[in-house]
Amino acid sequence: MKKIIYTLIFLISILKVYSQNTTDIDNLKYKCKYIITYQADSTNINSIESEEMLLLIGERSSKFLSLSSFLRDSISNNIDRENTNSINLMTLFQSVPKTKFKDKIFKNYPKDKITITEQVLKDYFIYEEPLNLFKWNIKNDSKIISGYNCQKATINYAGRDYIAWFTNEIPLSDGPYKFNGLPGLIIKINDTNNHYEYKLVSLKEQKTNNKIAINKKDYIKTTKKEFYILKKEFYKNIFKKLEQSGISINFENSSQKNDVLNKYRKRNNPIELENK
Amino acid sequence: MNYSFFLVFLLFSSICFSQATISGKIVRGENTPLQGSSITVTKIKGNIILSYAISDTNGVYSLNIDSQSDSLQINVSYIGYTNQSKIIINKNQELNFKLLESSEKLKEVIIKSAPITKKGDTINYTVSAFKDQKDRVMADVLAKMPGIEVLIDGKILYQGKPIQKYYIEGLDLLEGKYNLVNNNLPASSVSKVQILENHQPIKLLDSLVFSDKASLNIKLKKNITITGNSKLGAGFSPFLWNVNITPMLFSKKQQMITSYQTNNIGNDISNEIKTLTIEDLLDQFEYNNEKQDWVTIQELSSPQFSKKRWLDNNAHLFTTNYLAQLKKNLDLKVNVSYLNDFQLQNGNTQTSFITPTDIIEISENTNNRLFLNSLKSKFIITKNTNKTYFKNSFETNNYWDSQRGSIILNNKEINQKTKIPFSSFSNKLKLIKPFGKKLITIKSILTYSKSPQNLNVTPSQFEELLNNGNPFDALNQKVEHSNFYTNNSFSFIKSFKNFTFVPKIGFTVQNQKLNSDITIFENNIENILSDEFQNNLTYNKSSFYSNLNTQYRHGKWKLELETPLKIQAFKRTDNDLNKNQNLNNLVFEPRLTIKNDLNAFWKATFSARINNSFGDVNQLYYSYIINNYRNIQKYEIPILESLRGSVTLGILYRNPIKSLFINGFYSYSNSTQNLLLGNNINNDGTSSLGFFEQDNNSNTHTINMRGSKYYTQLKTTLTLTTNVSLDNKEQLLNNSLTDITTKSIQLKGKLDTEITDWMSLEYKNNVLITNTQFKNQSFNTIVNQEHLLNFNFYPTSNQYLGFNAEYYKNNFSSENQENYFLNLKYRYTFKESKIDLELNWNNILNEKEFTTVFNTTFSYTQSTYVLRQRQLLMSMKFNF
Repeated sequence: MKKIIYTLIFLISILKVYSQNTTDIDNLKYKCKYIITYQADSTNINSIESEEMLLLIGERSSKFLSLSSFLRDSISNNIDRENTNSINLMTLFQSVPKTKFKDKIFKNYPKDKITITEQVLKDYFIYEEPLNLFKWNIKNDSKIISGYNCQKATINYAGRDYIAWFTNEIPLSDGPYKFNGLPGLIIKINDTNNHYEYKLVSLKEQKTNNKIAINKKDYIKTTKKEFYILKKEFYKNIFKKLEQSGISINFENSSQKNDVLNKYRKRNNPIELENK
Repeated sequence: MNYSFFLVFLLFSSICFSQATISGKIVRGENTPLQGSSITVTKIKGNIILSYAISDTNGVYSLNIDSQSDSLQINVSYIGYTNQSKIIINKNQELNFKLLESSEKLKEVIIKSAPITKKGDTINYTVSAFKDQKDRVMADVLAKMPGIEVLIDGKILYQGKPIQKYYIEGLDLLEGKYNLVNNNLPASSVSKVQILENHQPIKLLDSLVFSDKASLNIKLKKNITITGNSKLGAGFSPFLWNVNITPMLFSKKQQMITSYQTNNIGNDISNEIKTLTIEDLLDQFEYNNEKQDWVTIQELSSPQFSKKRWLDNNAHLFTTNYLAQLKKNLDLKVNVSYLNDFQLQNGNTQTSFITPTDIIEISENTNNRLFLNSLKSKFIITKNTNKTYFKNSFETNNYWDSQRGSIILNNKEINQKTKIPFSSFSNKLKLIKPFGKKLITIKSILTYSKSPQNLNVTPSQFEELLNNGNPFDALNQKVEHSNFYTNNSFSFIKSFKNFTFVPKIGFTVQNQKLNSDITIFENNIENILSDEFQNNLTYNKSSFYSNLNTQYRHGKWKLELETPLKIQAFKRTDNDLNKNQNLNNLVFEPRLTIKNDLNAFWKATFSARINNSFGDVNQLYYSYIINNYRNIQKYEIPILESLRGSVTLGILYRNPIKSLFINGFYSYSNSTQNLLLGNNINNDGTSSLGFFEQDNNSNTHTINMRGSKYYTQLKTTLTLTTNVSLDNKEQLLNNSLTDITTKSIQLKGKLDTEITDWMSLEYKNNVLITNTQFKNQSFNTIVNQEHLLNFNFYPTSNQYLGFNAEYYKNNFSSENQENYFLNLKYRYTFKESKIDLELNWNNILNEKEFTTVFNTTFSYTQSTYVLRQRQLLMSMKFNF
């Protein structure tokens, strides 16, 4: 029994980053950086956290992911194994902070679809949604945000009411997260409870020959509904899930266990509240 | 429905918001459709978008205009192309556009970004955020932090993997024995817990060797210098106590933790000084200086469940740990601990030795007293800089154990006394230095141990052998063993493409001396027996080895190959007896491991290895040694050589969507030995060794399977485990050779369910079925069963109530086949005064004895152990 556990733990540990390969899906044209500010626990106003996110826009498609995921991917995909002097890359790798957002959103890949990949523990899941998810209501309000003339648009999506500010000065029908379909880039978007806010902090044209790529993984194909149920169950019953995969956790008294579970259950405020 | 109203409404709306639809196609260059261009409608020269569309794959768009204006402006834009605008009349129409490339740049923007709270690989947990009223010590709080888990023996896991180091203010005071801090440091003294992910404890390797392990660092509150924890408990019956006083001192350059603990409630306090980090645990194996008991009294085999139920102890532990930072990056550490324990064992044992011709039965009533005394100390100097890693540990271990046993053997009383002291010194040095682009590692281990032991038995035993069949008063066995061992190696790491090579060379020298004699006492006359009852043995073992470790990683494949080559020389001499043996050989012990991820659900592993083993000094002495009152052995045999080959095949399936996990392992091993060892059982139950110098073979097949499924609706996990083994070997018993086959099947089940937030239930069982077969003869099948049920209640946030029921059954013993246990635990926390009161009521049904049954290939043993009585313990816990 112990052997099995150790073997499993060993397997998990060797499955780490080193052997990553990617498939190029587009040429990178523009790199936008957003700051996400979110409240992790809907009942606790002090649980506000923030992270940097990237929107990589290509000729046909785009990719949205956290800056940490981007850095981790690019380091591990660029490690030069022949050269033992990859010291700098390694140090860089260790300096990348962990991310709370492991999902990567590919818009218009494949055509007219959104592809979402996400890692849970050590599994990689993939599912698709249609690209034209959003039926925006354009408002007449306008204001200048980050130096761009922006116009207001509203939408109700997945249980939240959003206010988006987009600019026609950047005629890219794209935005943070899955949001797209406006006649210009979304500069700022937040829900009316202020649980989630994305704000553009930089936009740069890419002159070098960089690609937008998707990691080659053994993806488990699923649907959005199935995936959200799975993820919810995972955090709700993290110990049972770990135990099932061969990692046994014993507590001196089970009140400790309950406390840990409650901690996990406080991650109760996902961006999408309703799923079809 | 009023149709006329509806018609009027339609007419009205068409007047007010004369809705026009504009559609068309956007192209570029040679009429290539342009997808994703934005088409917006504004007032003439206006900014506000009234309506918009995005062109589709075919460049086609369509939009509706809700506006009263007669004329409007339509704008088409696409990044990298010149915008086009046109004034149009507000009516249905088709408009096509052809865009032209432009060199105009997009308006770039950079806004100073906000700071991110978490930097680098360090995760900070603020203790106050996790600590609630009832948490006393670090272990309570740690267990609550996401990603951190605390196992039942105190081991800490982060993301499912054991932590590598446990630091206090960045200093590694306890060398892996962190239970002492974790169970005693008040949570209120700690400000932060830091998890250092990808932590490389050796600074020199920090940028060279990637570590995927995490370490933990405790940050204390600024003004904390003296802190600690104490626990007082008392109960009955008889009078029970449980005391723990642990003061601690922390300053910038010095740290000290001292602890005194004592109890007689069955708590094994040696756990407190148990090494828990894997790295430090591996270090212990390398010393090759485990305490070895050459003589013992006949001990009782202990029940295979919680020690708290049967350990009859009276233990005192004193330990102190001191660390001083001499210079930056140069630490001195001293760990000293003294353990004193007095244990009682009562019970009886029925053993049946089965020979092909006969069954010999003996019955023993055992009453043992064990006195355990040990002093362990460790002095460590560590230098850890970016250019050098140096660590030298010097360790001394001293034991002064003794035992007294009284056995009623078939109505005859036999008294045994042993003194089994042991002392050892070890030194270990590890040095890592860069050499060009490579890192070289030098390791040196040196140990010496000595143990003069003796066993005293009254009245006489082995009369036939020792005194021509005449009974005598007493016998005394003296054994003196010394062991010197050194292992020195040199290695470096080199990577090339997908390969990593670690070449290593080294040598070992081991020198052991064994002296023994037997004295018999008859009418106050001592008689030291000569010749075949005296050993004066020297055993030297030396080897020179080289090893190349090759690792290959590519995509889904991972291969690791070890190719160690060893030249060994063995020299065994007994000058008094004029006997000796030399053995020289070259051994090659390759090991191969292959792992492959077939896809997201399936994974496969394969490993194969060959290894040799050679008899050690405890199987090489030429003259008799009495190991216990009914076992006398001599090994007038050549050095045992065995060659073992094994393969393991594993398949793992995991489906996270269905919450189903299955894994299966099959392994086969085959070993060949040059000798067959066996026991000669005499009619009084005493045994001695017999051997055949004949090549013989044994093989084992094992299959392990485990499956687990989580049922979402029932909030329940079901886990089933099966282990099957088939073991085949030749055995020598009373000078005849027999083929023995042992089959065993183990079935384990576990059901875990959370009924509500305030109640949970757990059920576990374990069934073991064993069957042994001689050539034509089969013995009774032994079935052992265990069932365990736990109920937990949390009526309020400061109360906990737990019931625990256990049931054990075996089919073999003639009486006492079943045992039932019931235990209760209640805890109440006074929120303001931060004091915990705990009530433990153990063995409520007052079960007196526990019977275990086990069999070896030639014996059945049924042993009854006297358990701790029903007891009630009340304890109180508070901080300094």
